[in-house]
Amino acid sequence: MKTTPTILFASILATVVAPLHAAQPEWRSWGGGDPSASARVADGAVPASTPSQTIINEIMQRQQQLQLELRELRDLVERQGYEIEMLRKANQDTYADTDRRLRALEQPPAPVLPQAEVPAAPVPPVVPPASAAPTAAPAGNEQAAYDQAFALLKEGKYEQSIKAFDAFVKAHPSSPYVPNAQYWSGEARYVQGDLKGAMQQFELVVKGAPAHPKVPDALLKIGYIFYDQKNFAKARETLNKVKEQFPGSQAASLANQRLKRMQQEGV
Amino acid sequence: MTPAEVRAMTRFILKLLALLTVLFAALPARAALQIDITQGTDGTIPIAVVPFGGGAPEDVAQIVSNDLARSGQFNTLAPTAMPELPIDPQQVNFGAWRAARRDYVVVGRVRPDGARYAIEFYLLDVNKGGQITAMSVAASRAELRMGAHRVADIIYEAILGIKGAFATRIAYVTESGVAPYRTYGLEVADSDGFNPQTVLESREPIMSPAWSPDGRRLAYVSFETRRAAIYVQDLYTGQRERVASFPGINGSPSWSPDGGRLALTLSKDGNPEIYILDLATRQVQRVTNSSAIDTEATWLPDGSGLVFTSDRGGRPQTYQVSADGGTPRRLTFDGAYNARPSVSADGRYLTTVQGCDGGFCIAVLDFKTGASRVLTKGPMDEAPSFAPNGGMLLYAASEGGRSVLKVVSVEGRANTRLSFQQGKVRDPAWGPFRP
Repeated sequence: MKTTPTILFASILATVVAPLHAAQPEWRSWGGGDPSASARVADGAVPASTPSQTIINEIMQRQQQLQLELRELRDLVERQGYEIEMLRKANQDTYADTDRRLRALEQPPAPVLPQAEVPAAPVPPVVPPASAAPTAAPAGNEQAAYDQAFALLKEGKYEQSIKAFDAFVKAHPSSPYVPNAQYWSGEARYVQGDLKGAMQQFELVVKGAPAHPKVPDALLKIGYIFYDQKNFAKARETLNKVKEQFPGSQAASLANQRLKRMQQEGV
Repeated sequence: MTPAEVRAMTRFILKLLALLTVLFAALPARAALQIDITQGTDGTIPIAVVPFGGGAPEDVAQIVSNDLARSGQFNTLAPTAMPELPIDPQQVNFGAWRAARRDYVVVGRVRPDGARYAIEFYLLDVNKGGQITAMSVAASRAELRMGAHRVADIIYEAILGIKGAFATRIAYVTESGVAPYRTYGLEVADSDGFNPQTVLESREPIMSPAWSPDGRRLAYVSFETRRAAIYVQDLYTGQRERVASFPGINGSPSWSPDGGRLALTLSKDGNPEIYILDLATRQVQRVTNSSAIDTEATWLPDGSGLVFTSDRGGRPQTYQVSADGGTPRRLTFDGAYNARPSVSADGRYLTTVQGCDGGFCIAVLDFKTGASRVLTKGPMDEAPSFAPNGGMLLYAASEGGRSVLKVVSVEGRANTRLSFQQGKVRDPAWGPFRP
């Protein structure tokens, strides 16, 4: 019944409920209820009204109460379902965002060549000529092996991803992905708390491919590890190096933050 | 119960009492509607519709200007604020309009053409100093206002790329006189509230008019037999037919998009539930099944399902259910009260009457983003329905004890009052596009 929306429910209740009362006016007196009725029935005493009426009355009351509780529960379930759905969506968005950022870090995983070897103008800079890059574009299984190791890392299977990255470096020592694999192997070890192992990997990146885009991050992490090892002098030296060598980079700003923190901590 | 609900209940009981009273001749009530822009229009497109030449019996330019302002997409200029009043496009001094900060100017004239009129108009781009469109719209004397609405539709679409919905009609119920002299009227008017025509008059309540998708028929609830029944009335022939009069409640008709079925609220099997009535076979099929009140069904534009109101969760909220039945899914979670749902023609927006700080407000939920927004301030806003282009909403409201129809643009920017001189007006329904 569409009257005004506000009178909708009232109106329906009025039309539904009113005739019931009209037809069975005794409901009203039952609705008042005798709180001691159930006790007396339970005691086996003779109630004021007939036992069947009392029982029906009680059942009616309970039924109404159950219906009320059921509706409250339904409201709760519906709201929780909605909240779960919202959380699931938010979670998905967060995951998608993290994934996107990790990908951005990873790409282009094109080989990074020493400055001198980058060919001049006419050749697109990201595709090195065969002579300049003996490995050229990574072969299919090489790419797959790297992706697999990276996928393990994203899933949080650090132990397995460390093994996979290390195996990748062994199997494809001339791959342009080697610094990336070493970096992520270092990250996984760092997360695991293997500071020494992580340090080794980051050093491999810094020393093995000094022009690689992962170097600022690797150096930053080396600085962090020195800090974690309470080797504050070395930490300060390394973090300052990041600031000086890669000004304006994300790593430099993070290095700066850590240096400030160290100053505050008085170390 | 909130005070508003108590008031509503009181109103309903008074109405029931009125039904039981012997009625005498009703006072004649002639509705006249007026338009007022009641809210600011920042960030809108500046346009000027210059008074048309030719001396027509209606101020066509004013009608066009009012339409554009009401959409919430434009801000218009009063003739007194215009730098010049040209009639031909050649007379327009674009520099003067640039100085008046207008992006568009409309000029034209209404030419008598035998017994008819030709509305010739030019839409001009002030910044480019050129013409965007020029057209002639033919209309009889009686159709002159509708012709002006068509002009507004053409301008709206030329600038925004969205079909205009001004040349459409609305239906609503009026209630005039005091019991026992009360009269109910089912009225159809232009989208700006002008040209109201009574299609049914009754001493008993009329409720819930719903437009058929072809705009030819109205389904509604009438208590003329002292019991609720659903009627379908052809607006051109006046022919009417009772399509549902089951024991108990017969309420809230809504046409399926194919025009072949009506969703209804019936209580024939106990408590109010949603049913679908096949108009050809007269078979009813039950859609919902709960111990709570299920009512106010409205079709999704693709005909796949219905959105309805139910208090199965303790308080009224809106739910979606497949037309074949099944488990309803709750749609509204903002606000402790959401009722009277209506879905925009593109299926993107759901409007409801929502419990808000001020009482009852009109809210719009964007299915795409999940965001819900309250468009009006209350305190007793009721029965929202979308314009067929989804750009505006028509609803009933209460202002200073008077009942009025209002139009709010879907982003809430412009709010216009189609005021009603006497009596009450309720249950507005915006009709479909006209061919």
